[in-house]
Amino acid sequence: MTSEILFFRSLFRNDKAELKGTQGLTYDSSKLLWLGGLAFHWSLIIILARHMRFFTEPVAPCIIFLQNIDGMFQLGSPAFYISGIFIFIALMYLLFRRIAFPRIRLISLFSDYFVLFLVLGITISGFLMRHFYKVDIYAVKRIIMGILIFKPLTITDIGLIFYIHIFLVSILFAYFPFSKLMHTGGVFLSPTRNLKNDSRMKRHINPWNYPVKVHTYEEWEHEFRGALKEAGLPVEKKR
Amino acid sequence: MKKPDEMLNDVNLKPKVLDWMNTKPEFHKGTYLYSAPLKHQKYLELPNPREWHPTDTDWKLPKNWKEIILNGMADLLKKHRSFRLFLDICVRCGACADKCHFFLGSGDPKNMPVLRAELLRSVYRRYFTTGGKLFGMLAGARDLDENVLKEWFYYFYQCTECRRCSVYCPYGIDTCEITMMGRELLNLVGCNVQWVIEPASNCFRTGNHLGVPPHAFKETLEFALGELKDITGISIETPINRKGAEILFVAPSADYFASPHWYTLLGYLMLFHEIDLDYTWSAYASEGGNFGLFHSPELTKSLNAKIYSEAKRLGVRWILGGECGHMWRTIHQYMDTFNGPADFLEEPVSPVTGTPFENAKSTKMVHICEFTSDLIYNNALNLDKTRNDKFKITFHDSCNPARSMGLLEEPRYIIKNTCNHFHEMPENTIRERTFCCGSGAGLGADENLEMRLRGGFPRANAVKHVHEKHGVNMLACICAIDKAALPPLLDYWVPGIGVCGVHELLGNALIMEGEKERTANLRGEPLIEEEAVEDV
Repeated sequence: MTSEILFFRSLFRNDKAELKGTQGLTYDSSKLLWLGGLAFHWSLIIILARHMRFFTEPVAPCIIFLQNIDGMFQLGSPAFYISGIFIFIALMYLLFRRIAFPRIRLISLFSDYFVLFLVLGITISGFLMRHFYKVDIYAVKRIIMGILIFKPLTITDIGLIFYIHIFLVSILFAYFPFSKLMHTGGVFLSPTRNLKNDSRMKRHINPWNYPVKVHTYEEWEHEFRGALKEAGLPVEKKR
Repeated sequence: MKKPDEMLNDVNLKPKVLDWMNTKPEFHKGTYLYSAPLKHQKYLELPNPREWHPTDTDWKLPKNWKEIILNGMADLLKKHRSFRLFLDICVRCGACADKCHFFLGSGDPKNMPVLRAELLRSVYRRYFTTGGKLFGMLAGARDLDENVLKEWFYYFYQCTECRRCSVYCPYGIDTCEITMMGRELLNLVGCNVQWVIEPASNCFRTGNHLGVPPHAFKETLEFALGELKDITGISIETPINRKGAEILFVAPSADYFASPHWYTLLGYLMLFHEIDLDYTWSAYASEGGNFGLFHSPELTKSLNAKIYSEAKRLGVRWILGGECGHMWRTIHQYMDTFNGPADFLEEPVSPVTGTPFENAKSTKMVHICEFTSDLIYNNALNLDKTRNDKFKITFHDSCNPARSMGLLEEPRYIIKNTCNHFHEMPENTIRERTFCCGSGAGLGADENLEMRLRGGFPRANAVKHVHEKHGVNMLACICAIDKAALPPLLDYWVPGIGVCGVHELLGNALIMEGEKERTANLRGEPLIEEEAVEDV
């Protein structure tokens, strides 16, 4: 279960079936979805953790440590975060496969693209905010802290890009409980993954296990008594 | 019937269609099942009994059928936590798409597990989720109409509930459960199939799928004993409905009625005689299989109840079960919960080796492969492997024992101790990733042959691989449906390969006390290949 959630164990063993003329079906290992999925989700959680510095004062040391690791390639200033690059590449791949692979394209719904574009929008606006249209992050932190203690401040000169970013994030949060994004919690609840296969060792109780009509031995013997006797098989009642 | 090449030419694993919601199901000959006969619908008191056929335009549904289905769905959502979860959390990543044997053999995109589930999910979204109610199509929701219902019927009876897709799903979504729920809903408006309902109805009345009455049951077993006398020279007895035996033995009825199951039955009988097992058959509970499983939990429970009630009446200590697939899903997953607690039985202990079967300490029913491999492990049997030398064996993991029970090593252990030549198929087609025979879950009907052959293609393809590489000529398995479905399937895709049960191989290798010199195997074929004799 742990490896399932942290490393996507089931996706790791994914393979790809292809029908080739003379050989029939062949199977190749297929790890790109696993890689894309893993890169996306891990980057996401690191980015979310890094954002904690906007919500807490003082900032927890582990968050600063994580930030330093993530930004260890000090390319330019401010440093590029590895997670930012990874999440962008992963998202582009996930989007690419929805459009380019016929099977995935067929099963994709509007809502699948919607979330992808939403997260992509958040990533891009965040990236732009950090590296190009710089905003006053002290002001940002004051706004956020203000909201958190229910005393919102009005600061106007903070830059449009920040409001785009926070607007998209708000949509994501609002959309979350009504969508497939609930897989976040759902994966912990999946009975095929979190239950032990011990149903012959331990009795499991079903709360709605109501009685059903059965064909009892007595009814059965009654119908076949003649045949049973003739064949010399034991019977409970003589007639 | 199409030739294998023609069959494969139809298959395109890269679907060209872009929209699935509005395409209508087409009932092609050879790819769908016939409806349940009126007589059996009535006998089992199923809803909306009537004469109808899947190709009819009018399915004679009840007037308020939509309401029935939606209420039924609400009820299932309440009962099964898994159902709601599986409907909610799919992200349509597509990992399952090319894992289904029916998709690989037909190329029909709605046989991708994800789309099969979407057939139901789209209706769930429309009527049970806020997003679906508000945004309809945009949220992947659609109205329930007769075409949707027909589509359910077509595709939920094109799923063998083998659960291979669930192994690959990152969330463990079990399409088998979705199919089960879909079939339950279809039953509510009276859409059932002959190949499920007739055996279930027979089983309810007589105790087994084939409707074999008790005296015929006895005659069949006696006939088997006669054959064994010819092969081994030993007179064997087998008790039926005997009170006070230590063990009740339950096998799928095909074992005493069909071929090549028959040779597995001979294997059981030889084994029980050799270790002098204190056991009995039951003519009332003369069926391990349970076609109720392909219909509804109520019917499953009703048919399954006979096993415990008979064990109680006969006063046995524990129960031993034969080689079967869905029988073991029922027993392993459901029996104790449905009809337990089995507090009138004792924790199973092998009378020969004294090994306690702790894995079955609550349900108190042991799989014969567990029982036999324990005997072999403790050197309780004399085996002559060379008697199986003409066979080059591969083992097909049957879906239910492999994926539902995790019974992976025991049958292999028996095979390796009874045969000299054993070769595994490629690793992504065996064990928990095994491919279904394509005829499980009530799809084994003749009218469905094309779909069965297509569904069985991935399995046959893997057999072909070991046939060409290692000269494999015999496929062993532990499922009654496999034994019925695989011979015609392999004849079609890879001619020249036989199908046998694991206990047939055991019967061949088993050296019995007082036996005459064995010249023939259980099939009556000479032990040594004729060509080899000529060489000498």
